[in-house]
Amino acid sequence: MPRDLVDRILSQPVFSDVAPGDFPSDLSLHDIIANDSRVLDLASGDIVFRQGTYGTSLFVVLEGDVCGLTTAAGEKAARRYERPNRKPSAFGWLRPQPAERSATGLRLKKPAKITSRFPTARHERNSIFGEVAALTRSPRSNTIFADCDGTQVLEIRWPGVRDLRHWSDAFRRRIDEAYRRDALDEALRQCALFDQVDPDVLKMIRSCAELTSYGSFGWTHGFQTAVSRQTDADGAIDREPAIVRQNDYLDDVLVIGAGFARLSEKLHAGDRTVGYLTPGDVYGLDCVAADASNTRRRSARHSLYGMGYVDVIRIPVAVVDAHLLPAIDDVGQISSLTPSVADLPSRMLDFMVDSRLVNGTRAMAINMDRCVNCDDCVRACAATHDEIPRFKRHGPVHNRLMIAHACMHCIDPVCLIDCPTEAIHRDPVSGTVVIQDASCIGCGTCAAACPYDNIQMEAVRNSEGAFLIDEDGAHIQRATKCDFCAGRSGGPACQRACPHDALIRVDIKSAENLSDWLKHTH
Amino acid sequence: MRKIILNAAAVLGVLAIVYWATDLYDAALRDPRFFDGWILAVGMAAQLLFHMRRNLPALQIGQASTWLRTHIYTGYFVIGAFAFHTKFSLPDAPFEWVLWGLFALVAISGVVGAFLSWSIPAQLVPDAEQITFERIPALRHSLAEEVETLVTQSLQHPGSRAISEVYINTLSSFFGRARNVPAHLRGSQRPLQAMCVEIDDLERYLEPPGKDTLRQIKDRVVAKDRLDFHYAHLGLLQAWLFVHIPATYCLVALTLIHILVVYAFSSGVP
Ligand code: SF4
Ligand code: SF4
Repeated sequence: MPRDLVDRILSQPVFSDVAPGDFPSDLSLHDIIANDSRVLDLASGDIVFRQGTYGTSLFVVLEGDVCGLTTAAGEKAARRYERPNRKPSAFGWLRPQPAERSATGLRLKKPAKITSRFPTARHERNSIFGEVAALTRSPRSNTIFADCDGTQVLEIRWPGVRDLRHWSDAFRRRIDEAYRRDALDEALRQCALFDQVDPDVLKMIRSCAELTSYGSFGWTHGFQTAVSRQTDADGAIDREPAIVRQNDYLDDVLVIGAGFARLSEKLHAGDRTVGYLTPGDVYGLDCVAADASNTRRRSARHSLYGMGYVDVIRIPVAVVDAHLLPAIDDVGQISSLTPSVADLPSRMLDFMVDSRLVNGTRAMAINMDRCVNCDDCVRACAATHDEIPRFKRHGPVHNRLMIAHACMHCIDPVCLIDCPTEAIHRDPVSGTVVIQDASCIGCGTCAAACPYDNIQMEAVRNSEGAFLIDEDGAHIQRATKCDFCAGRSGGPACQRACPHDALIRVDIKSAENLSDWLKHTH
Repeated sequence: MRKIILNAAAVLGVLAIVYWATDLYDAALRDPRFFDGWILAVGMAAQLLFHMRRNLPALQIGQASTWLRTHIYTGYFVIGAFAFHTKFSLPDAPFEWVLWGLFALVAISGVVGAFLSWSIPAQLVPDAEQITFERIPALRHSLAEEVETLVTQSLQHPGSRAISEVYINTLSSFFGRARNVPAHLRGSQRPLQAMCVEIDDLERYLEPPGKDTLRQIKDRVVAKDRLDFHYAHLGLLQAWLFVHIPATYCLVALTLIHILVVYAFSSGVP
């Protein structure tokens, strides 16, 4: 990025209190902006990002306005109006390259029609957006597009965001402020319960709701050691912050904004895990609805503990009684939105929750009752990945179920956080976590950060098969892990190669799939 | 279970059709052995496709478990077709005896293999701490080293000499390699019990530090016995393939010769 452009960016109000002196000499504020950001020149309707896609960049509006859709109906309508924003032309090579356009390459054909028919949230000049997905590594919760021609947006890639937050207290405060504001909106938007609520009522509910955070973003540090030392579920629960305790009077209905929470109930002298909540899940509404007439009897049926980092939106029960319950036509729907007690046996749930395996969206589950140790799965993986298998066929075992050391493509992929080159990233569309070999510098940060030991460092070889050596004589290394057979047709080779139906890739959240499979294959 | 019954019924159904068609062929005054012989040959060729799928994982054609199921049920069909082709009787020439014997070896090893693959993994589960066949020698070696260290340390206490004696007489050879494989395959615990009794009997002759060492040694004996159990069963899971696969290739080669010979000496009218 040219120097004068960087100077112009740094003169914007959003950077006004960011002091260059706070940054070390080898990582100046100027360098961070020059290397880790870009300016997008947008025309009206150009899409910055779409709902449901993944990305860890944060955005600042430099010129013009951007709009974010706030309802599911708006998102649905927007899909119908999406077109590529530049048609490929046979003579394109004759023209000079235009400035960077929207990151998606998509444009809404009639943005004015969308904005007039559906509610939108406007981000004006100098406002920050996209920070919730960046900080929590979650999918984008809504589609954002430019509202007028000449809009300019600064995109700061994750390494830049991380460094700015690390070195500048002022910038960190600003982002965290934006996060607290937007996380609340996004959590309410994610929760299907609010789809049928009138926008004015929703505004009212939002004004009374409060965002509370538990745990820390860096929960992975020391997690493996803690798990290996832990001998029982109570040990794990003791270390988790209590959000609600069973039988306490319910003051608020809770919506999980980010992270995970353990749902447990008292059994004799201990706590038994009965389920877990993920973003968009609601806690306590079933109790409130069931005892709508008797406000004194509303006590928590289960305890709720934060696992790692959790954002919780608290909606006071009085607001729920007065505004939310009357707005829900079908009260029967409440039970389906309130997570039912999971379908797995209790000890298995403990195992999944204690080891944080619930983070996995494509975990490798092996039924030990069927696995004959033939290693066909390992061979198939190697055959499709330059003869180097991308997983280890062992891992934590509970009863007859093993979760092997293969990348689980987590809901919250913490391995992404500290990669200096963004080599490890999430595919924007499929959501799988992949490593771009060409950008990996082999520092091993991701391997150290993965709480499940699912990333290995491999020595790199040249085309003749000889190891590559650096100037100090050490092997040049590269991070490798399961890429879920990205780009190969037919799905994951490991699962397809198992002749005994002993291995599946499974989203742990759909626990029924896992228990059905275990029953079916037994 | 329902699926198994349906598949078995399908195999029986196809066999009945083949039997009926062979009869028709016979009624048309043709030699039915050409007809059921070719059906048998095609069935055997189909069986080979499964080996191809396993050995070319990069091709990823279809789900391997579907291939295995098809392989097993086609195997039962081929056994039936073989019985038709041989007219349920024993051969009467040396070459045919070899063919017959090889077919029996392939079929029996296949059926036994399917049974072992179904039954053994579940037996390994209760104490399966990810013991794979390849890791067993390394695990055994580390146990042996631990015991050797314990025994060496025990020599420092004069009242613990009995430990070194039992080590020389029994333990060193026990930890040297896999032991009691036949007993493990029979599901017998007697060798382990005998060894534990021998260790327990020794306890009364030892002083407290020696008793403690003995307890630690006993834990390792139990762990080594568990390794032997896995060695026996995981070894069996691999061993049947060393019979099934070479026998299959011999059978294929001899079958080709058989077909050539049959056509070389036939009258030309099947
Ligand atoms: S090893 Fe490669 S992928 Fe992992 S953090 Fe370092 S640069 Fe990123
Ligand atoms: S292919 Fe299936 S049976 Fe063979 S080792 Fe892998 S999981 Fe086990």
